[in-house]
Amino acid sequence: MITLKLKNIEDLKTKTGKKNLLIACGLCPYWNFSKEDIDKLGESLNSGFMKLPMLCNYPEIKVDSDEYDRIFVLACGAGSQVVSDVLDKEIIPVADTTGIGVKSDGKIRNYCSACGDCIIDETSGICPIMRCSKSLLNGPCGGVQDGKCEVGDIDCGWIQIGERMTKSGGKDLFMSVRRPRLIK
Amino acid sequence: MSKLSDNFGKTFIVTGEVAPPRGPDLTEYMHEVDEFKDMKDKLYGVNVVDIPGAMLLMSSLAGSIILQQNGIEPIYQLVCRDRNQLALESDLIAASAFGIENVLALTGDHPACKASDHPSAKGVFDLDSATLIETMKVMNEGKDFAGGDLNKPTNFFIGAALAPGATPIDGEIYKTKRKLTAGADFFQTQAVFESSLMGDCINKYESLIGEDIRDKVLMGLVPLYSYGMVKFLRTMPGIVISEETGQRIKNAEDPVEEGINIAAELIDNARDMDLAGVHIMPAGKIEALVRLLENL
Ligand code: SF4
Ligand code: SF4
Repeated sequence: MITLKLKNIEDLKTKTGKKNLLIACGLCPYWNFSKEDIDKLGESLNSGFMKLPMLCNYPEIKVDSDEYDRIFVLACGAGSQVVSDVLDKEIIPVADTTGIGVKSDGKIRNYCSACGDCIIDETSGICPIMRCSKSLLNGPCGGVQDGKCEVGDIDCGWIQIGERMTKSGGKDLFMSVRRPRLIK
Repeated sequence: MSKLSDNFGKTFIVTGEVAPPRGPDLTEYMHEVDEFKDMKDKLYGVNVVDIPGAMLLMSSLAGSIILQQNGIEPIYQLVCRDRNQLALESDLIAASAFGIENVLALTGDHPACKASDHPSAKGVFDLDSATLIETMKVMNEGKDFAGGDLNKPTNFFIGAALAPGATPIDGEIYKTKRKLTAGADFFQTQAVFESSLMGDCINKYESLIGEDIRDKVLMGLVPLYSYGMVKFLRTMPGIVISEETGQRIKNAEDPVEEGINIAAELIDNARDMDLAGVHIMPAGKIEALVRLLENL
């Protein structure tokens, strides 16, 4: 699903008006966050609350937007834009869209950044664009420590690519030089 | 031919390192340049660092040109973090036009790495160390990365980094072979404080790749000055300083002196391992480099 990270709540509070509404997409946000956390968000923003099925389907939004000073949206960047389009009004996103991810052992990890030219057939089925902090085509860089990336809290994607590739006899492929792609 | 490329493999190579200033005042930099002039006969090149750790400094190209114009052979460091293909090639043409031949191709630390003073800077990484090496290789044949023609071939002696402290090490080994295939002529390692780390890396290369790489490697050294420095360095990725080495600095009456002794021992170890030479990074204390060179 689309991965989301909530913005700083204190910063969001400074953007509230007298009458606020929080519109949440019913899909990805509920995969990223618990229902309780989403309910709490509405309370912290002192706002009314509306949950819509899938904002990416351009649903009808039965709201008189003139009634509200501020409309907050909990959705991916695309869903947030849909709300703005449908209501023809400015909105405030409450989350940052960070990628396309997976959940295992209760932990969400980003696996794809929708780069537009999938090359994971050349990288053992592991994405070097999202799972390497520098999106390197020829990793790992020298900063890897105990298999962890030099920045952020992620496992180094290139160590994983190397392990899977060399295990299946692809040592030469791993040692080959991959050139930058021309994404049309 | 650069002095470095001419002598590589023929004699035990020693290179030094300098950081360009953090502002337009060149006074201190020129003092260091003067010191390097005195050491010219013993040094085969001086690296000019390129915004290491994403901490702002004057451009390494300008710093390298200044060395070149003062008769000191630069090893121009170039990172892929801050420039796209065009900017990298354009800077390389400039370097070549000014007579610079030795270039160390680096991917570069992430702008958001621990040391960074510009964490919101955008990381470019259009090329990486391997494709930057390839770029220089084709430029040496009179071409650019996209296949176009240059009005004259460049003459780069191409360096790359080797991180013996990366863990797990296998990925680093395969990548080193990739850099060699791409066209790297020599390697400079990250700072090594235990010769066993270097030895393990060379042996691992031999067992995984089936080749001996020691005649291409300059082992990186940083003389230790204080126990505080030991503690700081231990927090950096890839740095291994043993308990014993740490204690030697901690218990020393004169830690600077002891640091120089340790570095001198490492130089001997590098010779014993038949490495191509050493790369001494004096970390701002140029006297340590002077002392180490005196005994060579
Ligand atoms: S290469 Fe990575 S970012 Fe690009 S489409 Fe494939 S998985 Fe997504
Ligand atoms: S440590 Fe691995 S994931 Fe992180 S930037 Fe380097 S190669 Fe990429």
